[in-house]
Amino acid sequence: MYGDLALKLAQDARRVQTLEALPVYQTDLVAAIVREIRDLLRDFRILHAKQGPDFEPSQNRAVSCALFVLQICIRRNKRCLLAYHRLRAKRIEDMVWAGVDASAATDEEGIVKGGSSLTAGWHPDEDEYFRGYSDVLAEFKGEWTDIDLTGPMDPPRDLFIDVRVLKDAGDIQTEYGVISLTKNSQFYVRQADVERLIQQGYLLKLS
Amino acid sequence: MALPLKQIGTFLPSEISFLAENTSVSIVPRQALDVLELIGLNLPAMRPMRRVEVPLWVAIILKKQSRCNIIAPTWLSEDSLKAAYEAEASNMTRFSNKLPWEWIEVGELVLTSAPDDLACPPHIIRNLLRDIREIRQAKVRAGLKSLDPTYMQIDNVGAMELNEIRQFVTMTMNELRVLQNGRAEEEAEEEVEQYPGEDSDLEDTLETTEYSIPRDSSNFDDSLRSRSRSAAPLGERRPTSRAPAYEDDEGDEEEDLEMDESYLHTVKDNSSGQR
Amino acid sequence: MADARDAEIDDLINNLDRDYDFHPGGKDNAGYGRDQADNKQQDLQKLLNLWIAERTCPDILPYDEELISTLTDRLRAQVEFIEMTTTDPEAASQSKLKILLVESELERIKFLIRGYVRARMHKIDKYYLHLSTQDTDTKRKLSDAEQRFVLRRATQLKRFYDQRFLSSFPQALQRLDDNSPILPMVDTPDLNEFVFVRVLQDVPGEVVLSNDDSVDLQKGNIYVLPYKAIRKFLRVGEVELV
Repeated sequence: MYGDLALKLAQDARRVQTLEALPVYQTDLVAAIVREIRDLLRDFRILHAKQGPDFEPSQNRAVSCALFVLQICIRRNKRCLLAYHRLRAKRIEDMVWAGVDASAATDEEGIVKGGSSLTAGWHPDEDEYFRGYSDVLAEFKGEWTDIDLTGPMDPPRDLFIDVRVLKDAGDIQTEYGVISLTKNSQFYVRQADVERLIQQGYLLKLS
Repeated sequence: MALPLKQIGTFLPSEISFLAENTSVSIVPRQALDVLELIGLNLPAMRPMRRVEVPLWVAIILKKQSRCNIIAPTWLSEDSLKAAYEAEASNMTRFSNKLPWEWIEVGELVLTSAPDDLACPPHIIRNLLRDIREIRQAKVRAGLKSLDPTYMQIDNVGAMELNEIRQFVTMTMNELRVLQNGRAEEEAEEEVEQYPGEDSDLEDTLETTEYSIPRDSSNFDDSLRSRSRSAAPLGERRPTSRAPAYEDDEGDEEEDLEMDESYLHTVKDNSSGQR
Repeated sequence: MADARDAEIDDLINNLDRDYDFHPGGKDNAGYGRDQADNKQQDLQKLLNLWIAERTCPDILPYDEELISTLTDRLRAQVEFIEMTTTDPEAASQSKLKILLVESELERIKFLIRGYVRARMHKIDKYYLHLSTQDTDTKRKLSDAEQRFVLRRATQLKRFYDQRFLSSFPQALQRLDDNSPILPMVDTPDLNEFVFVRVLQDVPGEVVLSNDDSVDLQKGNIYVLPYKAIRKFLRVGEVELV
């Protein structure tokens, strides 16, 4: 049945919404829907050509209806494709905003290297979109020299906080001297100095 | 995403609290500090035992370092809060005007940062605040029972109280509006042929889902849905039966469903473009 | 000695303020100081209001270039103050407290500006097609950087669609902005969405909501109303979003 494949894709898109990581890109399904659209377009053209140049839709309701149905099937398929890709693109954008480093997982051509769980199953075009959106956002962020736009979105509490080191993070330079962040040690530090490390999971903020 | 999900369509309680920290309080400094130029104000010069007004966030920092005492706002005293409770209890359809906009946040901030500066034991203040909160919550619940798609009036609501019902109220009223408009349109356009492919709005559905699922519904929100009993209305409301129409109609025309000849013409154009 | 240094630094900061704050008629020092302090508080209040409004308004609001650049200038001056004071080995204990206060406020202001910008970015991402194809009136609400961003991100996404499926379609089927009433493709802000407002000034006459309903906007009232119904009062400051 025409439209079944698109429905499958839409269902996959719905599933994507609730998942932590972006699931495998439906390469075959997308290709099949594109083929279906081409078939529908061909049918449409053949039927339309048969009517000759003087075709008046209002004169022949049956043919009009057939053309109409073909056209809305095409549009619906396109819409499902758009919805699926927009949703995935949005998830990719979210990762860019969250400061996820996907470059570590893919090389220049976007080929997935072994072991990466984040971008595994992505289509290479999605890797490219990730980089493209990253560049656009980086340029925008570049306009803001005084404020890190990807900084914390929770309101600032205390300037100084207690943190525990979860993973060795090396030395950091603060105005109160160098601190060696070795696993399981605990520090009273300026929150702004360690924000990044907390986000990356090196440090745990103690309340 | 540019804005975290939990911050879309609502504020975090910590954000409401953050805003309240900008309100002014009186402090009695324990040490001297010269005038300090900040971005959003100039802090006044401080001399020991000389009362000055500063933003609450400044007071909290100074208090933490034992450099000042905070003078609790007058409404945050045992007598005032008792009076406020009486006022709340005397009218179950309205909020009293005895409390400031940020009463919950400021109350909490002062209680936690300067419990020793209060004129009476902190637990008395805390209990009074809790009683007031509960009696006001009962009014909120009652009001939420009779939401309609026209408007709602909630004078003297507190910032935190408002934020707690924000998503529920706006989502419900938006939904009611859509339902009502749908009905109005159906009635108005009974003769117009309906377009069959209704589920094609998938993209829209997918994109707006984040608005329609309350992710961070607090216990309070839940209780609003399940435990509303009293039927007292919040503020004035009149029954309504029509879809709202506004005076300010600029740049926003209602698009009507037109779905016959014109559409087939575009179909025709599309196909001729192919050859 | 430490006091003398503090005074020097204070003077320096004062002078920095003077360089970017324009005060017509603010000649005498005392009057000047008060003006400047008033301006600061007004600016902070404006920032708080903008932050709240952008978060609660369904539509994107005009970008306040002037306010943000004034605030970022002051931000920079404060950072310099901190750097100067902390590199001073003999900084008095008063200076340490000052730095703590200055830094705390700095973080607060940064948080508000960041939140303001990101609330806008959220809407810009969501309505990118609407914003990148609209008339100049809509565009004027965006800053120059935002306008560049919206166009560039639209290009990126279009390329992604093209690569994946769109380019294999005939021209007529490639459009992303087909807004025929039955299948509108362009996501636009819903101006009928309800918002919470506080009335700041009595609005004369009743505001008609529908044939049967109207409301009387009196100072201090808090209402939930459709954004569209209060938009014009918001613009002139008779109501504020809360």
